[in-house]
Amino acid sequence: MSTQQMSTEKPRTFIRFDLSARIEHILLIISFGMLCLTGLPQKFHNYAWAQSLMNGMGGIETVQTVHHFFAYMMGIETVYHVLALIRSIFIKKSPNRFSMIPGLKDITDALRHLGYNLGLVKELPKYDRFNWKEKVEYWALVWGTIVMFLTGAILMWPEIITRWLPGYVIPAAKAAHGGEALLAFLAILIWHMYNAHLAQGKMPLDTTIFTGKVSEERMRHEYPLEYERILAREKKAEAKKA
Amino acid sequence: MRPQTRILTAVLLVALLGATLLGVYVFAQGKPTPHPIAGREQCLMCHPTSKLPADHANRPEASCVFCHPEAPAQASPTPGTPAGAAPQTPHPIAGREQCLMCHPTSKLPADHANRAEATCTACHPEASAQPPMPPQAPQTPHPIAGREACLTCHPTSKLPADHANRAEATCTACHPEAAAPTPQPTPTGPMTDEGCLACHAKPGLSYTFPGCGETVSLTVDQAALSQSVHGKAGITCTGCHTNITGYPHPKLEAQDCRAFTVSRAEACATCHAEITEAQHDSIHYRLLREGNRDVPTCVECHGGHDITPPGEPRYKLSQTCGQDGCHTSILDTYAKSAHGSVIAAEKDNPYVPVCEDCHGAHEMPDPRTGEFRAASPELCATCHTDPNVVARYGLSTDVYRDYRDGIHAQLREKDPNAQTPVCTDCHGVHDVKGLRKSTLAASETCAHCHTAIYGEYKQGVHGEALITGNPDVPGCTYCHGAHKIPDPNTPQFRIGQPDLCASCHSDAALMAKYGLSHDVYVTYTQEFHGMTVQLYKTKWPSASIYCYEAVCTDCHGIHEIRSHTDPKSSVHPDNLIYACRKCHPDAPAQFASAWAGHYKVTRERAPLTYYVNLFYTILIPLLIGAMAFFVLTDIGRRIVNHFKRGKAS
Repeated sequence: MSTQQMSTEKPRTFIRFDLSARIEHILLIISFGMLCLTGLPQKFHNYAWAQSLMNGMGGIETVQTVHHFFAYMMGIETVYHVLALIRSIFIKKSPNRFSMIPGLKDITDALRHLGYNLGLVKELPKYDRFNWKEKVEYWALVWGTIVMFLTGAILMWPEIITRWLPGYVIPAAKAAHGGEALLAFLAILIWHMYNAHLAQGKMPLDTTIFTGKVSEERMRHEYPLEYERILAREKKAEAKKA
Repeated sequence: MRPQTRILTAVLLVALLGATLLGVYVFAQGKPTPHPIAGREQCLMCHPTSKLPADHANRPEASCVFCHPEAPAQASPTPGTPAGAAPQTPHPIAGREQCLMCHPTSKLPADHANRAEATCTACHPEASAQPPMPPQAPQTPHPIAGREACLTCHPTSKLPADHANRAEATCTACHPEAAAPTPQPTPTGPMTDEGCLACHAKPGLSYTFPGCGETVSLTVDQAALSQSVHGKAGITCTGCHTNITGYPHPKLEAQDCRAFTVSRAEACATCHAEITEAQHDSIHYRLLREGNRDVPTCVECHGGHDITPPGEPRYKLSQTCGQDGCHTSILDTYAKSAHGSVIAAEKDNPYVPVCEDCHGAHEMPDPRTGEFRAASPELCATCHTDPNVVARYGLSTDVYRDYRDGIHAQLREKDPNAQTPVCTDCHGVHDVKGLRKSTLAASETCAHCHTAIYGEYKQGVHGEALITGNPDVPGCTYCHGAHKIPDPNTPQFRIGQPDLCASCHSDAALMAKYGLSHDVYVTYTQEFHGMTVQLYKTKWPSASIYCYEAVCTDCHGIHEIRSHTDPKSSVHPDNLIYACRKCHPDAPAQFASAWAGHYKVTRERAPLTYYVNLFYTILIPLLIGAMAFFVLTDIGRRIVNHFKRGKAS
């Protein structure tokens, strides 16, 4: 994921997400959204709202088919993401290839941010390309995807899975699939929705993930370490040219 | 012999013959017969040997006339008959040749002894001028033609003593028809009961049918007649006995008693035409027309002269059918039935059917036909849908409607020849009985047709318990219904089945009695199969889409449901995988342990699931709580910052 200077004209904007990443996000919105829509009513099938929702969508079996379809969609997206990651790390050797790796700084950043909110710390921490909130979300997605794919596969092919695993993994997988689903849904609802729509300076919607662009002011403000690094790199390049 | 001798012998013979003739002539001299001889050749009848001269002994009768020729001048009447000794008959002789009937030997002069009847008229000719009848022989006050059987009305016992032994045929000899007959009893005018009863009230009056020799009493019980419906209504004898227009009665066509009885029905028809019409096609009359003479006609049921209103009390209506060895065994069966036992106790109960309520009083169709059987639900429904009737006995008025909606009736509707039961097949015909009080009796009733299924059922826990008298377990009707029996092969029945089982298996008290979990239904709805079934039900309440998802019976069996601890049970742990494979054919052996066994998830029973649940029970509030906490502090900080900035600017 490269961030490049796009134009010399002011105000300057930076490319934060390339097209591939933007498409990935759209695919995720669609698949995750549809999986929640078709999955959560199954978890809460005892409730009337869940029943009318599923019945409105064509009944349990249609809902399950749709659920499986978007599961495949998300699976394909995940595979694509892994391939893109491999390409970014090993082929393109992008400067941002390890930017999502969490470190000690993320923990201290989180604590400092909390401290700031509580009035214990005067200044917000300075963030790099991905702040701790974004890393929490990304790794939560990674974890969730792994859990959901594993348990989902058990539920989808129980006769095959039980060739190698005992039968009781099936109800356990169902429990985990539902639990993780609820966790993911709530996390997205609270964490992602807040951070992408309601957080400081993002209301009503942070469009960066769709346009890929982020303003210089926001770069300076929200991702100061990356901004400084970009500027330094540009200076270095100019010096080289000169 | 010499010629002279021959001539002498001839002369002697002629002389002897002449002498004989001369002798005869000499004897005949003084006594010629004073009467004609023709027709009176049996001389000894009147002139017995004992009265003849002694020298006439041994003379043959035929020789009498040799010496006693007819008197030369036969003067009329009978000259030479001793005057006053042989009186003339004062009446015509033709038709009265049996003289001794009226003139018995005992009354004849002593010298008439041993005279043949045929000779009477020899001496007693008809008087030329018919003298009037002796005043002591009254004339018959009625015409005689057709009433020749005089003794029927004038029995010997009532005749004058001197009439004893007189033949009936001779009555009219002395008692001729009166020239102007008196109107009593009238031959042509209206007959009155008094007239009939003049004869028919008398005891001992009887008639013997010529065809069979059967003798029936002709005596009418006057008291019964007057108390009968007809008697009270003033209907006269001839109102029914229309063929009787007077006396003498016309000759009976009926050759025997039975034929006469059958013919009486025609008399009933003159007034009761509608009933006659109604019973024309009845089984009794059809059999009658086919030549069966044992079937009853009007009088067998209603009586003859003693007809009382039918149905007083109603109990009598049934008793009538069982009398005279007719439907005796059916009546006995009926008497013990739900219907019969009530009416036996309350003889005029109008709410309980007697024979005619189902069979008709007169219409009475053949109850053995398919049509009669097919119509029986409607027949039963006439009472069993009427709240005024069945509610008295705590019975439902819905049974007919329910039955109509049930599979048995539905199949009959599609195919009239379907062998599915009507009311009587389950409840009995004459031994009709309710089945709701005994699940076992009801189930055994089903078993009459569904024998194989009942056999399976008996192998299961429910059936085993039912047979031993346990009232808790479901019999056939508990699951299938009694009248509104749904087709068990429909998607509706299938999808409703878990609820059906749950109606008992969710009953905590009942399940506790047998050490069973009452959570089975709840746990079922929490797993895949039950959840899907539940959703199908909400999505397609009419089950328009078939739900293949497993319901109770798919694993536990349908009728042969055994305990899961029974090694023969389809859900015994050793067998469970085979139940799974009915739908999951490729399931490996381990697959069956996916089934948590209808138990709630506990650490002991399903540890993995338990810990997964525990994990998320902790993780979700923790993580989401932490996130929410941060978001709230962030929002708080922004608000604080907002006001600070506002203050600053």
